[in-house]
Amino acid sequence: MAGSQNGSTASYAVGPFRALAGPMLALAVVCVINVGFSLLARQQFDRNPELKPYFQHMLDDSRAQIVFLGNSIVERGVDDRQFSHETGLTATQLTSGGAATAFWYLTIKNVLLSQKEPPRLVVVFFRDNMLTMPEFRTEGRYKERLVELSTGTEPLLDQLAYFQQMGFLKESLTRYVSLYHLRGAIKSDFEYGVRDRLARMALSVDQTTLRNAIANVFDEGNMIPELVTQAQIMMEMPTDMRYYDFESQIDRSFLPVMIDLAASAGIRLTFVRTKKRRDLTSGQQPEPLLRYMADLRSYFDDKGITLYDYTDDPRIKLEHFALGDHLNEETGRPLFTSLLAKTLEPEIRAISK
Amino acid sequence: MIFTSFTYLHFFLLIFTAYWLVRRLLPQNILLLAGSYLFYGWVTPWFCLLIGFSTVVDYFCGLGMRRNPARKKIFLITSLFSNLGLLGVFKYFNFFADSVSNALAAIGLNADPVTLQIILPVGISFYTFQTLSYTIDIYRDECEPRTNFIDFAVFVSFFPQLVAGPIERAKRFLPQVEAPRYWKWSNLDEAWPLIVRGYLKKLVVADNVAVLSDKIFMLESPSLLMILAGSLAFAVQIYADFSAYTDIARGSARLLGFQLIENFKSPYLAISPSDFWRRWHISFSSWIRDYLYISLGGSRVGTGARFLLLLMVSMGLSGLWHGASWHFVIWGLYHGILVFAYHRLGLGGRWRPEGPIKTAVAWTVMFGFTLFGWVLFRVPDMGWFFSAFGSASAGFQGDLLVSAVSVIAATLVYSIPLFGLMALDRINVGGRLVHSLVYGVAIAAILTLAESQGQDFIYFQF
Repeated sequence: MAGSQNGSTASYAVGPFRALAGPMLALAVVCVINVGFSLLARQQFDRNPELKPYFQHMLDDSRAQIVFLGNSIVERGVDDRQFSHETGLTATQLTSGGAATAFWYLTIKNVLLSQKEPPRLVVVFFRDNMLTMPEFRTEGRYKERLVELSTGTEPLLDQLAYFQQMGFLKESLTRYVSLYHLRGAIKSDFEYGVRDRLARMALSVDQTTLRNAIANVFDEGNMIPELVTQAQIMMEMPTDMRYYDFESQIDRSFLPVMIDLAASAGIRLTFVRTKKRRDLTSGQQPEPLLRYMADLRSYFDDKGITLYDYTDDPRIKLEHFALGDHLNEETGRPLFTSLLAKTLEPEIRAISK
Repeated sequence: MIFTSFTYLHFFLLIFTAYWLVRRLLPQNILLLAGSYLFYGWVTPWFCLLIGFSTVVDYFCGLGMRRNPARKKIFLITSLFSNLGLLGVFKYFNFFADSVSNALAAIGLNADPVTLQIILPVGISFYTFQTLSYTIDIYRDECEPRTNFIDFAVFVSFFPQLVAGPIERAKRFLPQVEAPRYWKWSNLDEAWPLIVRGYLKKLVVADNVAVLSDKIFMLESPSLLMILAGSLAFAVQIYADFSAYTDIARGSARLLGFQLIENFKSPYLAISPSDFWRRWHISFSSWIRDYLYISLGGSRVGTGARFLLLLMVSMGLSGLWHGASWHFVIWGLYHGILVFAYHRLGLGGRWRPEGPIKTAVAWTVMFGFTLFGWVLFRVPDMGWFFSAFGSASAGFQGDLLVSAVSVIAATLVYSIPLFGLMALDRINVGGRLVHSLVYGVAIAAILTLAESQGQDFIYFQF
């Protein structure tokens, strides 16, 4: 390791024992730390399944006939009360910020199907090609939400969202290295215990004051919408074109299972592709996405499932957006809710028979 | 393909194994070439056409200069025109079209800018400069043109340093490509700490701090304290990110038997602008010095107006190299002014203050200048800069103070690995044993604290 730092890398003679001793010792340290965390993990990092009972209570209380599955796009863009008022049917949202197909699959399987009287119609709101990206938003804080919805063991979730895309190295780390497997929870505890504590000590404020101050200053309303959109485009820019190949992705996704599960419980499933701010600012949709959407539509036609696509709907304008892809409360949400109530009339008629 | 992806780890393991199994030079170089093109075209295969074009042009320009010495200049101009033309079209076309349109609009003429939907090929600025050094060195009789096309193509496309440097010189790197390479255990001994350091800096430091600085530079009206916090976070992010890439590149290259040059020498310890540029992105700053500044006559000027002019041209173009936007140009010019001002005050070149107090003052001043420079570099555009500084409150109270201090605290916590590595380099306590233990802890930190929404290396966009 003589030349291993920022200094010179002039070569020198070293034998295999000497060269391997360093990395082996480092790996031994990792093993010791890993064992320590494995023991600690049993006591500390088990999350309670909070979300599942919460959703079940919501359904019980509302006796919803229609359920909207989605993420913050639905939270900001659809008003349940207005929808119920306009259609005469009770509707409720089961959403979580940033949720994607893994979340919706678990919601259908573990929440909706466990109801004595499942809702008659479930509407899934999605963007672009996310329906066939099973690993999309399944790490970090999103993973915590998935754990909260799960029933202990979820082999299909593990297979589709994690292991099938992982490759040998990542799968081995996830299966056998607790440090890696529990990194979301460890990091969250580290940030709470170390990072935030330093700021609290410097200012003599409590955790709530600190969190509220951060939430206030970095509130969506204080951001420049165009920059947020740009950042979102960068973050979601595909690094692999196979995600636009519908045929190769469909059998690796949760979509067929979601459709089968819904059918088994007599739930009518409908999909809504939402409009994004970017659809109004960045010109025509990319060619691979257009091909993907044509294949998706054809797949739904074969299954007898309806897809509504608002991407090119001229009635939703730039002024209806708040930040990123969220509609604003004043004009965007009422407009989209009304459009949705009218669009879903055929589905509503069908479940009302 | 990016270094922090598992795809790269699989790819490297395969290349590494096959490379040392074949043992002979020609198959090794063919393997490196094929691997480099696979690496570069992984996401966007047509990018390979661009690097292929650049390689072919410079290979024949090099040969042409040897066969027709009287027409050396024509071949040099062809090489410059082709490479800078590629950069111009793929990196700067929209920038210049927009700028001309805006300038015409300012004098009352309306012209719709002709902008193209161009994707910026990653690493184009790096390999363009690397291959230009070959033709310029041949023109200056400092390097012999190569006849072996595969060797030359490996020099241009060598995957560990292809997309974000360090920018190697032909006269230093080509001899390594041409020399037989045999496995030595010192390769592993030198490489693994570099790779661990790289992943630690990128995944634990840069990606976590990036979340902070990104948010601050999206705020509509940040306070001055918040801009300072954002600048500090970005300073940590860009150093950790870029030096991480260099470390992984150097470590990967070392495992294949190559030695890449150093790109960073504790840049934030600089005590003057000249000192900073001797420590920051060394392969690029020395390229600008040798091929632009000195070519324009920089070695023959004093500290007067011509010196200022050459500095402004060199540093302005350095800024533009980083991105097709005015704030990069202004960042470059700002550093040019700093270098000039320090020279005029007699603090240029290799100046060093006497005693610890003067050194501490010089360091503090320079670090302040560096932080302000990073604000210019990181802002989304100059409109944001003027608007933020024009209307910013001090922010020393209420939520603004609490959140700014929280960002600074988070930046400091995530910077601990950087301080730790610096201490490890400078205080050589315990030798190999302590180093191995520290790197073991570093690997554990990488496994647990890596930001799950991993980000591309910043310098990919340049």
